This record gives sequence, C-alpha cells and structure tokens, in this order.
Amino acid sequence: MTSPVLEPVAELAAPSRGSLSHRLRRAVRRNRVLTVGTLLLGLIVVMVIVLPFFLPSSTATDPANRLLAPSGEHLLGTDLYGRDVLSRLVEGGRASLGMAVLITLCAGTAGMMIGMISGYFRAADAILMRVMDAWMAFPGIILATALAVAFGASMWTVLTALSVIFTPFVARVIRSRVLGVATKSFIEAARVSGMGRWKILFVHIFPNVLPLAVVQVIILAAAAMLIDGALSFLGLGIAPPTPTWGNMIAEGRAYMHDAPWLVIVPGLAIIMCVYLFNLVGASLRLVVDPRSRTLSELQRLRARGQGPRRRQANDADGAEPRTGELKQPAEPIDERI
Amino acid sequence: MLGERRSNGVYIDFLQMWNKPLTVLGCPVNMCRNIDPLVDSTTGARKGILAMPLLDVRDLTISVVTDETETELVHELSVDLEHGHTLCIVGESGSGKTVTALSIIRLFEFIAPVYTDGEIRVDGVDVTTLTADEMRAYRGTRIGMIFQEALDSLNPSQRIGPQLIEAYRRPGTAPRQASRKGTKLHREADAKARSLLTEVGLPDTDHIMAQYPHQLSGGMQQRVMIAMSLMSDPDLLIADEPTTALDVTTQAEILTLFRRVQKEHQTACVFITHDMGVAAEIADRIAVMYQGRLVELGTAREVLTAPQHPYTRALLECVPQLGVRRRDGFPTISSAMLKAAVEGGDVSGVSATETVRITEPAAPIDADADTPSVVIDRVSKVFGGRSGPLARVLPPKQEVHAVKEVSLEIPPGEFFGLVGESGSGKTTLGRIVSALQPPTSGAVRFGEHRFDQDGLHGSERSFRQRVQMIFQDPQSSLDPRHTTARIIAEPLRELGLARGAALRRRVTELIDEVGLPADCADRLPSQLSGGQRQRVAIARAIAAAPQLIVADEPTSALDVSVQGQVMNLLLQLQRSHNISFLFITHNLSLVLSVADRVGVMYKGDLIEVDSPEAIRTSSTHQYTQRLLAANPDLSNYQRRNS
Repeated sequence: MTSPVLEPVAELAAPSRGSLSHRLRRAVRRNRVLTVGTLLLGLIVVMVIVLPFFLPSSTATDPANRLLAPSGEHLLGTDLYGRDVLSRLVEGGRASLGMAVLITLCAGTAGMMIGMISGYFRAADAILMRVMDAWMAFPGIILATALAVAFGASMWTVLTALSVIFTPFVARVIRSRVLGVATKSFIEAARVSGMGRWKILFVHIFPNVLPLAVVQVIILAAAAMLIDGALSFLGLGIAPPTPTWGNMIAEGRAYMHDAPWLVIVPGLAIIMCVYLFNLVGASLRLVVDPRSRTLSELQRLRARGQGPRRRQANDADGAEPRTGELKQPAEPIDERI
Repeated sequence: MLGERRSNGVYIDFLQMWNKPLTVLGCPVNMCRNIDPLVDSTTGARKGILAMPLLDVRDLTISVVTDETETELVHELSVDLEHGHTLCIVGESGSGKTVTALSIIRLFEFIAPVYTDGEIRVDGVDVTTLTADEMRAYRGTRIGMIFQEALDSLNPSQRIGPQLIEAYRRPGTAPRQASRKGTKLHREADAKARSLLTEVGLPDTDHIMAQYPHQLSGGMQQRVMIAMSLMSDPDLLIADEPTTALDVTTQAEILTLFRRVQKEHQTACVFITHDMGVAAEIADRIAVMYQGRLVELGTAREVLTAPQHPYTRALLECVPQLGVRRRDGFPTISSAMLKAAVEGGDVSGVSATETVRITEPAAPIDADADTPSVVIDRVSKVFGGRSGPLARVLPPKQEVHAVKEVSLEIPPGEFFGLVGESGSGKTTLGRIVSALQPPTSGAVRFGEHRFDQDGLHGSERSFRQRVQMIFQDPQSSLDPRHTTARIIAEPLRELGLARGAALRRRVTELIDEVGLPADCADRLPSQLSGGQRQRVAIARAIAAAPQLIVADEPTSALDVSVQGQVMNLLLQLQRSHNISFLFITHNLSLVLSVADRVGVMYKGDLIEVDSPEAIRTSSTHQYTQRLLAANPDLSNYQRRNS
C-alpha cells in the first residue's frame, strides 16, 4: 500500500481535525450513499418495531373479506383468510429481519473468533482452516432440511443451520486480515513490552480488524436474509401462522393470478432490505478501509482520464485548448471527491 | 454470496495491480490511433531544434486539490537539461522531487487530482498541453521511466522476454505491434532486447528472457528495468530513486552501469535521489529542492564543494561521513535558523545546522555491579528445514542458514554497531537477542537469563524489562488506533512498573525526555511526522529503563536531518542511562561515525569485529573492503574536487 507513487494521496487521506459536528457534516456530505442507505434501513427497522401497535392483529381472520385488493381500509389488501396484509408484512418483517440479525450475530461472532485465532496462532491455523474447508463443502440447504426433519421446523433449526453455513465465510475473510495485521511490527513491539499473546489478540489485533468485520457482517446480513427467506418459502423456516416474508410468498403463490399483491409485497420487502444491506456494506467499506478508499479514489481519477488541469487564467491567455479535460465541462471542485 | 465476495476480491486486486508502476510503464494501449511522436501531427515536420535544451521546465507549479483545500506541492520550479546530461534532483521527503518527475512524464495526474501551471517543454513541445492520446505516444518512446521498486514495476505474470519486447516501439508503428510473433518487428525487438540485456550485464539472454521477475535478484530486476526503459531509445530518462531499495554494493554496480549506458546512448537523465552521496556519483548538475521550491541549481561540483544556499549546506553537513566521529552529536537542520537565514537575505556563507553537544552525565552512573554483558554464544538460525516426527515422511525443504554460529559479547554501556546487507542475517540476530525468535542452536545469555532453542529460561517479565527493541519503520511499529500516551504506557503497564497517576506522570516525563511536544500525548500516530513517530517508539523502548536496546535500522526510514535528531537522542540516552545498544544498520558511514565497536555480517557469518577506526583503515577482510569501496561517500568526492 505504501507504493512510493501513492504517498501523496495517502497523505491527503489523512484525517483532518475539527469539531465533531463539522466532521459529521463533512462525513455525511462525502458519503451520501451510506447516509441515505443507513437512514432507509433504520426507517424500515423502526417501522417494523413500532407499527404493529397501531395496526390490526396479523392473526385476526375475517373470511368475509378475503382476497381484497388494496384499498383505504386495507392499505395492502387482505389474504385468503381475510387477514390484513400490511399487518402481516410488518409482523413478518419482525421475524425476517430479526432472524437475519440473529444469524449474523451468531455467524459473525463465531467466524470472528475462529478467524482471529487461526490467523494469529499459526499452529491452530492448519487444523482450523481445514475444518473450515470441509465445513464449507457441506450443502447448507440439506443441513437445514435435515435439522428441520429431525427437530421440526422452528426458529432454532434455521438459526443453527444458517449460522453453521455462514461461519466459515466470515472466518476466512477475518483470517486474511489478521494475517496482514500480524506482520506489522507493532505486534512484535507489544511482545517486547511483555504483553501476552491472547492480550495482543484483543488489544491490538481485534480493534484493527473490527471495521472490516462490521462491513463483512452487514453484507452477511443480506445473504442471511435471502437464504432465510428461501427456507421459509420451502416451509423449513418459522412455521405459519407466524408470518415471515418467505412464508407469505409461499402462501400467496397459489393466488398469484387473482391477488398478485400477496406475492409482490413481501417480495419487494425482501429485495429492498437485501439491496440496502448490500449498499450500506459496500459504501461503509469505502469509509473504514483506507485501502479500498484510496483505490476507489484512484479509480475515479483514472476513469475520468483527464490531463492535468490548468488554471483558467492560464487557459485564457492563449494556451490552445488541447488538454483532454478541457473537452469536458469544467466541474466544481467540491463534487469531485 | 461466495461469488459476490470473490468477485469483489478480484476487483480490489485488480485495482491494486492497477496502482503499481508496471501498468503505467506498459502504457495503456490505443490500437486505433497511431501517433508518431517524432512527427508533428499538424505540420508533418520533424521536431527538435539543436540549440534548445532537451528538457525545459519553466515556472512549474503543481497543486493537488482535495475537497476543501488546495495544497501546493511544487512552487514555480524552473530547470533545464541538455541532451546527454544528468540532472540530479535532491531533496528530503515531501520536497516535491518525485511529484516533479512524475509530472514530466505526466503520470502524477493518474494518482491525484492535480492542477499544473507553467510549462514542461520536451524538445520544444509543452507536454502539459498534449491530449491523453498524444501523451501516450510520448511515454516510453521519448520519455522513459525507472521506478524505485523494480519488482513492483515488472509484470509478475509475464516472462522477462515478452515484457522487454512489448516495450519496443519504432516510429510509425503501433504500440505493442512488436509483440506479434513472427513479424519482422518482433525479430528486431528480440535482437534489441538481447543486445540491451548484454549491455546491462546480463549476457545469458536466453535464460534471463525466460525467467519471471520474482526469479531474479533485486539488482538483476533493476538491470532489466534499465534495459526496458531503453528499448525504445528515449531521449529523456526519468529515474526515481532507482537504487534506494538496493544494497550498497549492488547500488554501486547499478550506478556505474547507469552512467555507462547513459553515455553510450546519449540519453539525458533526470535522476531523483535523497542521497547526496549518490548524487555525487552520478550527477552533471544538481538541483536541490526544499518544500516544493528549488533552492539551488548548479553543476555537481559547485553544489557539492561550494554550496551557496544554507539549506544545501546544512544538508551536506548532515550526511554522515567516513572518518568523521559524531559521538558528541550530529548536526541537525534547524528550521528556525533556516528561515532566518533565508529571510535575512544574505544567504551566502551561512549554514542552518546546529550541533547539540551531548554532554556526559553530571554524576557518572556508578557502574552497576549487577549490569551483565550480553553474551551471544555460537548462535545459529536455520529457516525452512523440517524437524520433528514428520521430517522423514515429508519432502525435504530447502534450508536457509540465516545466522551461522555467531559469537559476540556486548559489555554494559557499549554502542555496538552491526552492519551488513540485506540477507546477511543481521535482523535475525537482533530478533534472537531480543528473544522474539528462538535460535536453532546456541544461546544468548544476559545475566541470569538464557535464551536458546527451548525458549527463554528465567522470568520473561524481568527479561523484557531489561531488553527492549526499536523497529525500523515507525509507521508499522505503532498501533494506528492507539494514542501516543497509550503506546508509551504499554510496557510500563504490561511489566507492572507503574499504574494510575504514577503511570501518567511517567508518560509525561518520557514524552518530554524524547523531545516531543506535550500535546502529542493524545494524538494518533497518523497525526505525527516520521521523526516524531520514531521518538514515540524510542520513548516506548526506554520506558521500562532497559539495560540493552536492540535498534533495528531505526533511522533508515527517515530523512538525513531527522536521522541526525534521532541519533542524537539515542546517543544522549545511552550516556544518561548507560544503556548498551545493538545498533543494526546497512549504513556504513553512519555506524562508523557513532559506534564503539562495529561488527560486519556477511551471509550469516560475523566476519569481523573491531573498532570503527580499524575497520575503516586497516580491515583485511575482502568483503569489508568491498563494502567500504561501494559506500557512496561525500568526503571522497569533496576531497577529490576541492
């Protein structure tokens, strides 16, 4: 990373100081995608938590009003038992988002521990990573099916199966980062200072790996949500009548022709959340990882493919407008970064 | 999910590759347009007027724009260069020398949002006004470039031969046309590559051209780079610190080669270096840059023997010289004196250096009876060999003997210098002495402590308290997420030497003792300068009041003037705390000017231990003599030419 050619850029990327609110405002301006994505995701979470208190019960059946189209009374219509789809959507969001978060937490924590240990203790590495390889080779859906058949489909079987599937992915990414941090001489300096190996792992390596782990975990949440949805759809996840977005789609499938909103609404909800998770994860990576930040800035510069800019005053007095960038409209400096 | 991450990884890797110099060397190809750099596209006339200098830089100002600020990196620089001559641009880090070089070949715009002002005329054509396509035709064919890291500049997945051939371009042909096999151009390029490889001292061309870059040694890679930069016979060659990453003996060979090749091809050269000794070896003319400004320009002889500007003078005084003892302190550049000298108007005859006299402690430390010597007893270290129960089953690995039966004793309070080239085993020995890596055989004894292949015998805590280490690169030896105060407090806390208010008081003392401003305590390493970072590392090393400090190249990542400050600090600490030093370095001039005794390591052997004076004047060992001869040294030049 410290290619001699890159040094000037690295210097520019150094953190500048200022008041907290000023820094926050600047961070928001620099990362519009991240800000908008996080706000939208936050909004969804708040809605899912708060709305059920104001909506009709999601389990109240009303056979007289089954399969109603969206209207003022039922904003998103009703399903085949006459239940309000909006209520079920929000309630299902609790289950689906909640599952995604739980799976992420379990797989993230386990993967983080395994990754850190195998990255730092070389002796453990050979064994742990071979176990992870074998683990990764095991088909996840079959594991989930087997667990569901053996213990009955429930939250716990899904949680176990999906945590098991995702752990090795997290572990691999974390391990590769730990390998990089462990070669830095501040790790040796800590040993010279008399710090124990486990303490070094938590005092020096963990904080330096954490930002990447957070990014990894957010992107993991998107994948967890997708697979959780698929399992629910197959009837291997949380069982009806508790709604989840996956089993809502499964139930609505039979009425796709007459009541398409039964499938479209939860489908859109899944797409939206997965998209936002991915977006937030990717843009957060640009913020926390100096390497990818520098690289993305470099990429932007090259993509523009311009020559060196010359000052307006200089251009005015006769320098012929042959410079590549002069063909493009001059853009305000602020928007370039 | 897996696919997503994989593709992302490749994407990042691709971007990283892109960032390496090799992609700019391989110059993005445009097969559709064919621009002949030698013929003016509008008039069709051949460019170039004889009386004109080849390179003429006028009032060049380069600034980089970030979202809020504009930083000026180079300010109104004017230099020129005749055909076939060498111009050395000398300066410390941040002086703008690399920025200038990259701007001449217009590569800087790829790595930073840059504004330029002024002219850069190459053979009469202002390259700052060329379009991207026209500029592409200039790179390689008219302006060649050699980077510092040869391995980074060569494509790791291609053999040397095709890479050389790719760089060949005759006027009127498309870029990379020579790569097409079976054509006349390809045969021509092949012959050219072979003759150049022979010329740069790699006569076994068949073998070399079939190798991948990583299979060559650092010196050979740099030779290949020189050959490659000459494939299209450029008029102007830009070399950015081409020898900095090499060992002194290799550096001397490459410099000689460079000068010869340049004379034969009549290529003009802009040579960037931070090392005045290298400049003395190679330059016809020297330009000294300071904080983005040109402070002095003249012939090598004028600048090196009769410098006019106080900064140049100060820089020359700071360079360690053979035969000049600096035990009482190195001169350092004082920015206040420099400012005063420049603003005072009269800049002749003034120098901006100050020498701190390192004084003996008022009360001589009573030679602690319990301070033992460090005894290194027949220590060896072998890497890569197999041992244990599986040794017979698994295929044998090649063994590397990093350290071979080295024996040495360092008495208390001695400043022992260990010098050697890369791969000589000096760093491995340092790591063994500081108990970071167990030896394969032999032992290190320090009082009641003993460190051998079974690890450390005796209390680790008390050993760590007595032996500390300073690392080469302060950027990597300080945790980027810890504040200065926390870094310095680490050994005190871990070794249980202080806590609470006493700890804070001690940290404040240490910050003051190593000459850091008090407000550094709460800063992160990224907010400090290179010299300040190394001071933090030194404060950490002395925090536990050790009796021995192993310093592994503590100044090689620093500028000369900062090197002086750090050396002064180390010397001061050695006197005031009676610390012994194992000072590991590749810089012969530096170590000979400060050490009490010097050991020379070569391929794992400690071949010689003697006083600096004896090493310099009466060494009988062949390798030491080679090292001395290769050492780029200013005093020789000044003696020869004044």
